[in-house]
Amino acid sequence: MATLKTNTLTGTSTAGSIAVTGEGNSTTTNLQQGLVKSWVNFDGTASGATARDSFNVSGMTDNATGDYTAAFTNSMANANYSAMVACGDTGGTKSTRDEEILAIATGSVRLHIFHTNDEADRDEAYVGGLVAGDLA
Amino acid sequence: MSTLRTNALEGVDAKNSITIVAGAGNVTTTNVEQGLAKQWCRIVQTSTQSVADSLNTASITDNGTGKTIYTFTNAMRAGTDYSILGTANQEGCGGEHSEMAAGQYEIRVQANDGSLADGSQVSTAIMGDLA
Repeated sequence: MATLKTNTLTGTSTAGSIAVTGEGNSTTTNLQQGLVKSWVNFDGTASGATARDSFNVSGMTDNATGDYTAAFTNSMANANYSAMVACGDTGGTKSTRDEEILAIATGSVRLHIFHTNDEADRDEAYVGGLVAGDLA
Repeated sequence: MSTLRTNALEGVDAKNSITIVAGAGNVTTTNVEQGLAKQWCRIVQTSTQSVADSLNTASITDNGTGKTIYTFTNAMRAGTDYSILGTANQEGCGGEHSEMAAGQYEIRVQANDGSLADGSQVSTAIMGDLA
């Protein structure tokens, strides 16, 4: 098996674009486009909603109950990126919570957790966020 | 266009870290390993639960209506530090996760009234650090 050892990958024609052959060995995809640009796992019930672990997140802001902002270390190119959020707890109890993206900016994304039945804001112990799109 | 052929990629200074130029301006860099999903899976919960396609998923366990346990082939580094994203297409259902461990996690699909419900298509993905 050939193993390429390097610390950095840069496209030759375009620095930010490298093609990779897909699993079916016929089509290609783009390595940079396929990479998630930011992700975070944080405790929404803790003061400050501090991240347990993250990538490309410079800090978390606890705006209010169920309302959090994740700021990026390296900003996105525009506000057209895809952002996702999901949540849960460890108690195994079911509830009527739901998640949504409140605001998208190049430097941050705002996440919201709430009840589906009465739309009341809700903090959750485990909140995961993910961003896919173009870095600046 | 130049084509580099290899079967595996490995960092030199740190085996698990490769930097890649990825910004729209061709300047900003990101990290290959951190940007890769470490596990993903699409399953059918209705009838006998089954896997449609997956990565790094050794098996799934039907843990009751709307509940599925995913067991990793290669475990995550820590039990509660990774990020889980999930969605279900069953009408009126939303996905959420509960039990997390280094080797597995559970996702629950529920209706708007909070009752657990099987999803005909349930998709999940994991971001975080492998062990």
